[in-house]
Amino acid sequence: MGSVRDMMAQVKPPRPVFVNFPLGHQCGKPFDKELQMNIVKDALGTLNTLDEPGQITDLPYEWEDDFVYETSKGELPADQRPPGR
Amino acid sequence: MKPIDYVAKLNAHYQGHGFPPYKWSVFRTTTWTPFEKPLNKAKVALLCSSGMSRRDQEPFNPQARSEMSYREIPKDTPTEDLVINYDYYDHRDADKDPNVILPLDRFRELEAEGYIGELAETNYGLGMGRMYKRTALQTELAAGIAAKLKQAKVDVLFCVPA
Repeated sequence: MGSVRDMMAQVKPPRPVFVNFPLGHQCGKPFDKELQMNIVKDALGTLNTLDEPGQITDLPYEWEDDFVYETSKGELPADQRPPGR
Repeated sequence: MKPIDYVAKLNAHYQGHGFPPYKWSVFRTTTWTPFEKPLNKAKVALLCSSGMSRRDQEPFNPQARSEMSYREIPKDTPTEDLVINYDYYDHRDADKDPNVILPLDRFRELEAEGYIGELAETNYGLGMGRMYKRTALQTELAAGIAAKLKQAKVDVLFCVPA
């Protein structure tokens, strides 16, 4: 279950599930129980449907809001920012 | 929007600062255990590498290198009792609601409604920042947790690398 698709492809866990959300939100948005539950159930669903080891399942959720990536080290200038949004 | 190319961007970022090319772990094959149990009979454990621990446990050190310790998070831990000590991803939302990376409440609900067999007694929080000991990670840290999962008869490990 992750949000870094290219690393997931390299590391190849047996049942990778990709959610295209900003890092730190792999299972959804805060206090959005319905979204969190849908993501968890979709991920668990691969246990019964996936038959090709290591094949990435792309979940269809879209992050529609703006997101300014900030860590406890503060917000970095764009040219020094690690990949985030 | 398209997925971000993290590997290419991280390579460009760090090599731009004079670091040598990072040797990424690349696996051509993966392990595979067929899942043959119905989900409503399966025991599921959660594992999250995010610097998360319980308030009554020793917090992770955000400055640590090659952190090999982990925290055992019992299934009945209220999410308000979870704290994150980590400097390298944005956890402002996870601080407010840890379920966005460790969906404990959702799995307790799935257990209560019989969607899964049960949530394991013990779940796992890892640090995992700046890991320079790849072999020890695989043969000690991961193998140690795998042995505990096996002992607890866990069928499914739900992993979230935060």
